[in-house]
Amino acid sequence: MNDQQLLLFALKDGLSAAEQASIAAALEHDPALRARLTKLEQALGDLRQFADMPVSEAALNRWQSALDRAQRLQEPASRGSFWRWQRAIGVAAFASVLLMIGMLFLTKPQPPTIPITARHDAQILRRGVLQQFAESQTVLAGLGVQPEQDSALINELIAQHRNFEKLAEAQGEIKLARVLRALEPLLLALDQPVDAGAGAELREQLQFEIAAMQTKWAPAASKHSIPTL
Amino acid sequence: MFEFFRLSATRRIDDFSALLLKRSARWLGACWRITQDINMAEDAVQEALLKAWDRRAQFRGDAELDTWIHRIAVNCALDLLRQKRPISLQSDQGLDAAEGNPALFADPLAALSPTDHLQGEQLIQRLTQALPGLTDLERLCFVLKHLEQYRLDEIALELQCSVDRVKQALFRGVRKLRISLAAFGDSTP
Repeated sequence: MNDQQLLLFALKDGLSAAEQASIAAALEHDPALRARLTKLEQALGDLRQFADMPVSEAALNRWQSALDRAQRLQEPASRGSFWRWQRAIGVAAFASVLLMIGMLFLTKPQPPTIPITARHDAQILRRGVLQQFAESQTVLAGLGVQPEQDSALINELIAQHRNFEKLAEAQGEIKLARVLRALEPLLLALDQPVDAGAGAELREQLQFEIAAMQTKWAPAASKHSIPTL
Repeated sequence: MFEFFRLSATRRIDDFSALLLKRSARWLGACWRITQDINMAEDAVQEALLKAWDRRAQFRGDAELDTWIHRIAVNCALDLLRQKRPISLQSDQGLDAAEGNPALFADPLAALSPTDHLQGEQLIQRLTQALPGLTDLERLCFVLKHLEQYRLDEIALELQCSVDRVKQALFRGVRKLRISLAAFGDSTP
């Protein structure tokens, strides 16, 4: 048993459980070893007698000043943080009110979008009618080339006109519906002309009327498209 | 509400001031035994006080605060010592060869009769005088283990060396101190 082991035993640290048990057993049977341990513990007790260090007045003042300074530095910060909290709460409340107003505005029933859709549909309808007029002109110009097909072509024109007429009525395009309706008797008469001369006149009248409608319903030309000469 | 916090802070600085008067000598002594430099020891205490002030909300009573400041002061002292000079692990090599010689270990205080044991301030003075005779490692191991109640593995971690190294240094430190005290004892009339 050396003194290093005995010292660690006295300090109750740095020995395994087996080593501690071994020393404890040795101490039990060896009075000389017990005496060595007692002296060692007495010496260790003496070595613990270190005194407190006298503190100078200057050091005490320096430490107290450091603490006072730390307190002064933290106090405004605490006060500042208190007001920062207040301001943050105010900003949050204001933002909440704005959010609520925004949500109310968004959830309010919006004006129906039908006019926009109707306007869009009306433009499509007019483009379709103008296309129909252009095709009608083509069909009218081609009548007589194959006379056996004229009736079918005219009836197809009539059917298409009726479709556009219904569409115009459904979309509230009353004027357009009336124009299309006015053309129908002429087309029916053209399908069953009294004679060839009357048929030619009807066809010219129809072509004139349709051309007039094309001019009237054609979209206005943009300024850029007007020749500058 | 703010007034409450202000009063609370005032009370706390008073608590610190009272503790400072009562316990600072102990903190300073611990720091001095580590640094062997009174200026460094005072700096360590101040640093510990300021750290404790920053975390004062964590402490419920004076005892807890005192223990914490003491511990932090010791750590600050170790840090300051490391900054000033690296703690030498090699400076105690000279005694390694003597470790196997039982004559050096056997009861250096045996020369003292029970009545010769030093008492009171005389013992303290002689211990204080003996402490600088230890190497940094021996002194730190002795102080941290025997006086500050660190565990050996904590000391090893703090000083960045092995536990075995700490054990050896601790043993040499205790032995040197006992020899020094025995020498003082021999010279005691």
